[in-house]
This record gives sequence, structure tokens and C-alpha cells, in this order.
Amino acid sequence: MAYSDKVIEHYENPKNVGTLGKDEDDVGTGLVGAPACGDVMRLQIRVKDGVITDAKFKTFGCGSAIASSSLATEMIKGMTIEQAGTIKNTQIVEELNLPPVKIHCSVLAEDAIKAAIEDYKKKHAR
Amino acid sequence: MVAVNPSSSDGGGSYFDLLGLPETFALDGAALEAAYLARSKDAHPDRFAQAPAAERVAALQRARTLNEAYKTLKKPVPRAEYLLARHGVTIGDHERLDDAAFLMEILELREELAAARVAGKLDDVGRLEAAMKQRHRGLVDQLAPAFAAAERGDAAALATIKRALIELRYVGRYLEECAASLDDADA
Repeated sequence: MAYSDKVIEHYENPKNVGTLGKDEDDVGTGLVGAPACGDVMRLQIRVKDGVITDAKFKTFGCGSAIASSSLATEMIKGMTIEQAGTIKNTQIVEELNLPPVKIHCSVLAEDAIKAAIEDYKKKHAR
Repeated sequence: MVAVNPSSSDGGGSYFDLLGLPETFALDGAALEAAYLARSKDAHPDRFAQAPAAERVAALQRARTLNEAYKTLKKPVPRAEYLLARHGVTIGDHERLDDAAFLMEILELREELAAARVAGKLDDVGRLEAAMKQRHRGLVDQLAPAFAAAERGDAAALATIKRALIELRYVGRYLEECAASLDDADA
């Protein structure tokens, strides 16, 4: 599988790898799994006044899955949670030049963003 | 990863048909071996060295399909994936595993393995690998009774099989990582 330069760049030098305290009130955690590849992706956001101030991820999967989640965290930082919720996987595909067989990796990243926002909202629904 | 595409290259007949074996998970290993060897001999390219090109190509294709069939049916996990696909159940690219506890556990075990790998702690890698191999065996052991139920017509058993196969993909991926970590150390 020939990876694009952008995928390799994010894979070799991933941005925002790490963990935020999942029990903290201002943190939302999205944990998603793609069973076909045995991949697992955790994406976390820290939110202040409706704006994502920090994002971290940890992905165990192929290079495209790692690059997709790295890029996703870059994209959503500084966005409102509403804006982040409208991010489409196609933006990730375009940015990383993902081949058709790797599009599902970008979908996983989109799902992870949505799951993190969902988790944050659930914490604040009370 | 095993490509599950039951009718890819055998013109619609199953691998079991091709080998003249009953379509069941509880496959007799010796019968599989015997059927494969007998049919491979018939299809061997050497027997077609003097044959017209079209026949040679056909024999080569047959030999290739037989190899594929044998490889797929020999081991329990690819056999189970193949049989599940024959029941119309597959694990697709866009499938999601909605089980936070399981995913969290896998994530933590992967982190533990990555840390052991970076620190060069081979004992820890070995311990994690041994535990995961045991889990692999436990999951594989679920397959035979679940298929026995499915083959008796219990449709719910298919979900059990699918779940076990999904866990096996995570476990398989984990074991690949363990092997790669131990390879590092040899290099």
C-alpha cells in the first residue's frame, strides 16, 4: 500500500497523541472500533464555552487510521462543538489523499469526533 | 486478513463442493488433506505441459483455487469466517463494535504492549502474548459448539459466531504486534 506524503507525515509525526482525563467535566471521550481491521481509536476533546480548546487521540490501527485521527484532532481544535460535529470524512479523505480502500479509516475518525461530542453533551445534559 | 468472498474464483460452487466435502465447521482434517491432495494431483500444471494454452490456463486456475480452498478451510478461524459468509454474515469495513468495555480493554492492552516494546521488556511482551494466546484459544473453542447450533438451524448462533470472530480479529491483530515486538528484539 503506497501511502501519500501527508499520511506518512501524520503517521511518522502524529499530532496530539495522548490522553485527557475522561472523568473531567470539560472532557468528551469518543471510543470507536472498526472490527474488520481490529482497529481501535480514542479521540478526546476539552471544551470551554462551547469551543474545543484541546484534542488528543490514541489510535491502534493502520497508518491511514492514525493519520486520519491525527488530522481530525488538528481540524477540530478551535472549532465550536457544533462546527466540529459537521466535519465530514470526505474532508479528511481529500486532505490526506486517501485511496478508496482506506476511506473507511476517515469514517472511523468522523465517528470518533461525533462520539466525543456526544459524550461531552451527555455529561452536560444534567 | 482473510478475504471472505465465497464465490470469487470457483464459479459459484463452494470450497466444500470443490473438495467434495460436507459443508460443516466440524471438518475432518484428514479428509480435507486427502481431498486436497487428490484433486491437486489432477490439476497439477505438469500434467498439462503439452496441453493447449486454454487448458493449461484452466488447470492453473483450478490449482490456484484448490490452494485457496485448502488454506481457507484448514484453520478454524478462516474456515469460520468463510462459513459465516456463506450464511450471508460478514464483518464489513463500516461495521462498528459498540462495546466500550471491550474496546477500552483492548486499548489498554495495546498501550501496555507498546510501552513494553519501547522499553525493550521482552518478559512483559511474552507475558502479554501468552495471555492473549490463551484468549485466542478460548474464542476458537466457542466456534465449534456455536456452529453446531447454527447448523441445526439456530439463527441466533450466527451472532455468537460473528462476535467471537470480531474479537478474534482484535486478538489476532494484537498477537501480530506481539510477534513484531519480539522480532524487533531479535534484530
